[in-house]
Amino acid sequence: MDMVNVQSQPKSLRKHKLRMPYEANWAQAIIISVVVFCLLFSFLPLFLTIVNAFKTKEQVQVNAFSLPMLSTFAQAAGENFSTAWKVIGPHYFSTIMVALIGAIGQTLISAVLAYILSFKNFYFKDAIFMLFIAILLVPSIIGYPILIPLIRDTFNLGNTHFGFLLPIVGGGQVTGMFLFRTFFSQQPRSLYESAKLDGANDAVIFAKITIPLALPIILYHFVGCFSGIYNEYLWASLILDGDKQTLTNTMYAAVATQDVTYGATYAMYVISSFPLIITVIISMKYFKSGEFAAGLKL
Amino acid sequence: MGYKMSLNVTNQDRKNVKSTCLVLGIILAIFTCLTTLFGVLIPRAKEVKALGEDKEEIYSMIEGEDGDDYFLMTKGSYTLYRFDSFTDEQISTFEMSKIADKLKEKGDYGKLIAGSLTQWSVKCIDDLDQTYFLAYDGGGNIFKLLDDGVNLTVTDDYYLAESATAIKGCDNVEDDLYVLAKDDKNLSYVRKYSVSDLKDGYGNNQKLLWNATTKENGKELTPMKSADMGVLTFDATKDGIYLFLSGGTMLKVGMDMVDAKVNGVGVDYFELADAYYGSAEYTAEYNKAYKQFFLDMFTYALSSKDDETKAEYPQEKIDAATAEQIITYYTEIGGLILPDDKGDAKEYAAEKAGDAFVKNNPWCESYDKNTQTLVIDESYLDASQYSIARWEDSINGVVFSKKNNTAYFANATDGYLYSVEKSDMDKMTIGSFFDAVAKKIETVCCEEGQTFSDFGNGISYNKFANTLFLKFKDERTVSIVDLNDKENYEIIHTFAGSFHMFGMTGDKDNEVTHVLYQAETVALDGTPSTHMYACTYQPERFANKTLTTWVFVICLVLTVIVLIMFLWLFIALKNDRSMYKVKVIQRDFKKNKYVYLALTFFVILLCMFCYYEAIGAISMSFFNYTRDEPAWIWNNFGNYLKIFNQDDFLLSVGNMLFFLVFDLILSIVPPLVFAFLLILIRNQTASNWIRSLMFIPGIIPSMATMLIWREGIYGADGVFNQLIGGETIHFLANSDYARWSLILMGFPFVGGYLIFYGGMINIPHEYHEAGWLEGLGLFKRFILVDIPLILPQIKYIFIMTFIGSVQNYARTYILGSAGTKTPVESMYRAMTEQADYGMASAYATIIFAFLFVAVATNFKMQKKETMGDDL
Repeated sequence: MDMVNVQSQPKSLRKHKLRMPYEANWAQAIIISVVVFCLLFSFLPLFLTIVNAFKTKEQVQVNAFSLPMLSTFAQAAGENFSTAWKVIGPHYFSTIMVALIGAIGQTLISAVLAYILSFKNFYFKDAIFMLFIAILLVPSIIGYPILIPLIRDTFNLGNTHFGFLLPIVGGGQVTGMFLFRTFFSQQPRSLYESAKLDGANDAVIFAKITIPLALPIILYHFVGCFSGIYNEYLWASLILDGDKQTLTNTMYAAVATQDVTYGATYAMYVISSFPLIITVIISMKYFKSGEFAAGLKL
Repeated sequence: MGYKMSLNVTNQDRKNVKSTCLVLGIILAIFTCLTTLFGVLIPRAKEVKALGEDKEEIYSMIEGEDGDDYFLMTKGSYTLYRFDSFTDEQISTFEMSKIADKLKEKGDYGKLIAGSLTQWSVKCIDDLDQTYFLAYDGGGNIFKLLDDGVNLTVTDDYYLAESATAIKGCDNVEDDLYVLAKDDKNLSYVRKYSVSDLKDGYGNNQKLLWNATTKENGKELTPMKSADMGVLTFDATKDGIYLFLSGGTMLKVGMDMVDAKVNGVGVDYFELADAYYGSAEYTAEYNKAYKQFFLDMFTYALSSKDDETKAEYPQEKIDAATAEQIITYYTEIGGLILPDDKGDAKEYAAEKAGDAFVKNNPWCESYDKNTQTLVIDESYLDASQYSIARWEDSINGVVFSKKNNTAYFANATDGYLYSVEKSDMDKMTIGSFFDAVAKKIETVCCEEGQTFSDFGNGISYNKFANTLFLKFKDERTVSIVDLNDKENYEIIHTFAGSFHMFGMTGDKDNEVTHVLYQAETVALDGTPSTHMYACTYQPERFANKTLTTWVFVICLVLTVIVLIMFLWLFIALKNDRSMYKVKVIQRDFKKNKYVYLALTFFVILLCMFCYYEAIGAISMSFFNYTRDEPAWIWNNFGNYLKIFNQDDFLLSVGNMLFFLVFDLILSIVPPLVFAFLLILIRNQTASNWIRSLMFIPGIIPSMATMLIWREGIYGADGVFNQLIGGETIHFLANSDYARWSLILMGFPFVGGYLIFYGGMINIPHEYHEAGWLEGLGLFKRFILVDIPLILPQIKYIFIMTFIGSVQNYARTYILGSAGTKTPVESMYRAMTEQADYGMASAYATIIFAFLFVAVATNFKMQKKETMGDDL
């Protein structure tokens, strides 16, 4: 398999390479300091969030960079987090569930579609593939004026999580399909042929060969879908309301109306970050080598 | 195309295809006929067009004498056009200027003064002896027009009301004419004239029989303040006059009372009820008490202030101030903490005022501070003669049917129609509620979640057929309710049209309904204007419009499919290659039927949630379609005209391009450099750590990141202001900084490095070594070796950023405020704040067109690559 081999390639090459000037210690020091500088700045929002979540209003106002003071730490944290939880608590688990269900649905549908379009042989395959691909040219934002009346009035699903997820799952199949198809088609055909010879049907092949072989890319897509739905703002703001509203929108409303201020806002961001920790860990494990990312090209 | 099958075309195949072709041909013929039939059957509203040579604006619609004809009045020349109810053909015209001619003829120039003889209204009066029309103008003149069935003529006798009042309505009971007029102080009056007395004259024989505004002792009273009580309808009956006011209030003045007033009796009662409704005295009393309360508080608060403040409010100023001004002064000196305390103080003042009023007026029993109403001593009342009843819910409209002696209310709160019989109304006393006597008509209600239209009047009455027209808000539907069977009210028709209804009339058999409706048009310079149009519906046919339309669409689609199949098979008959294809496809469908079945599911989802939206939005951009009025109304490119003529349209496009250029640069250059630097790091452990750590900022949800930038970094108490110190800079609210602040957001912009890094590690090391041996420096290597080799990744990021940047509404919506508007933000606002989906679609279409051209050009420029290979 290609993707496993590539990872070890740079190491094997390094053995007999020349020593370049930039590999000198002083040059490396400069490079690493520039990189670390960028890294530190990327951490700015995160740093502010963590530090300020444990500070009182006055401390945040005076200096946002200062570390929390031990004397006020417990009291500030208690106040901030209880205020934050009061606002986003009721929406927290429901949003995670919605994002989870949506991501599973989106990934599964894309995978099945990609399977059909990769391994099945039929006359109108190219035409149907083009039908799916062509929609990528249409920006997603264009459909909302039609989508709102469709979901709210025609299906009568306004302000329900099902109505919220339906177009996300139903309309989100194309990107995943496109991604999966590229990876599915790289899978060794011999495996499929022998499985067929052994009498495995499509469902078995899909579950036992295709999915396990493409697990990293499926996870990648799943993680992307999850954080996509978790971070969704536009569609949620259009179709959901009140108790059903997602975390992101609740958070925005609380900040925009100044219901939650200073330390408590940061506490809110900390709480809302937890579900994404797991997605980040998965991404870290599979994607830091950059291999999958390299597959995204035109 | 890797799909091949070895097949031979046999004669048997040709025969099969031939017979299939024949069957398809027959089906095609049937479907064509059905499509044509249903196409013809789709009901269409008949527009009334011929209205004057210069297409004057329609102004009002007037029902004819027996439902056989109706009139349209135009603005400007004030011409009455008479139309046949059924054919919509113009029968005759009558110019209101003929009245002026008549006056001139008589030498009565007194009537030709400014302000009169315009804003005409016409009402058909059913008298026992004859049918005639009363025309009244905005200046207080009433004229009688005789009707011979075809033409109207000004009679020699014409009536005159008083000048300086606008006549809002008139009604007659036999020989008595009641006129509702409004004066320049916006006060409403009802006056009674005897028709036989009012002849030929400018005060010659006219005798005011009764004037609801005049008190017998000569003191002027104003019984109705129209600011308080917009009169919805006004009906005079033999028993009395009924005024139905907005807010669901009925005011009845019994005829005996009217006559008593004429004869100078019963003054007290009248005065009493006047007071209840906010007479001049009541208002004055009330305001006095109200003012006193605030005056006390203000004086008290002022006493504690310094001399300079006190000097600003001299006694003369306070004495001359109204209650509202006192409140303002009070607020100015800081005596009132707004907004919460103001509400309480006002309430308290109202209570005080009420108490004071009760004390001063013997006929008041008590004052209820909760409802802010006065309870009136029953001994002062005579219910049969004078009553005021109210409705606790909000009312969208009311009509009074003289035929049924019943009033019908469209209740906006629960969406039901209610009826109140006149006999019940007469029993009501002052302060009683309609709810007690109103009968809810269970069979007539809006659909769940809907309500009656609050545009114009939610309810209209067709006196010829004795039916009601009910207009609903969210759907542009009209329901026609039969009122003839009192036990069982029935909706006989419900029909939908694309209109914003203003008025309706119908004929006696409910065959036609004339609708005066308002529609918006947009001029070429983008200024919208509303115009009135009239059209005719046939309710019976329109009731099935949706069904017929759907059947038509389905038939049309099926016809097209059958036609394509037929043509294809027909060609196949003549051509062996096509014949071969037919056979291949036949086999394919048989073999892969489950694949096609599964794909149907995916294709349906795709069509339902992608194609339908895209095509629908582009179509919708040419129509008026809002959340409150969800009907497709063609508006002659009005949405686009409005967008292109906006003052800040160019600015918003400029902003879009500004952000686009910077987004493209910042999403490519810094990540490329960063990825390159990472590649250069010799120590793999360090590189690994850095790459792992780069994921961690991603745990913050994107909304939180934006809000951190908005509040924590750019905010008034944010990082930047803390670092700079001194005067607070509003980075996002200041148009000098706003755009650049938005660009700077996300510094150091290296988040998307991974794709480039992934591409770079795949570049064989030999290239670099060879380059180095050839004398390429690090910079040259980056430009000449690395970048060209990861061009596919750069292209990917380029396209994705391009699409993302143009669609990025959140950045400017959440962070921007000063001069950072972009088209996509306008679209978002049109969708959410204005709920104008047609407008939002127009924005979406413009964005789509821009993106489509840009992306398609980009794809075209690239080498045509195979889109994955077939296995």
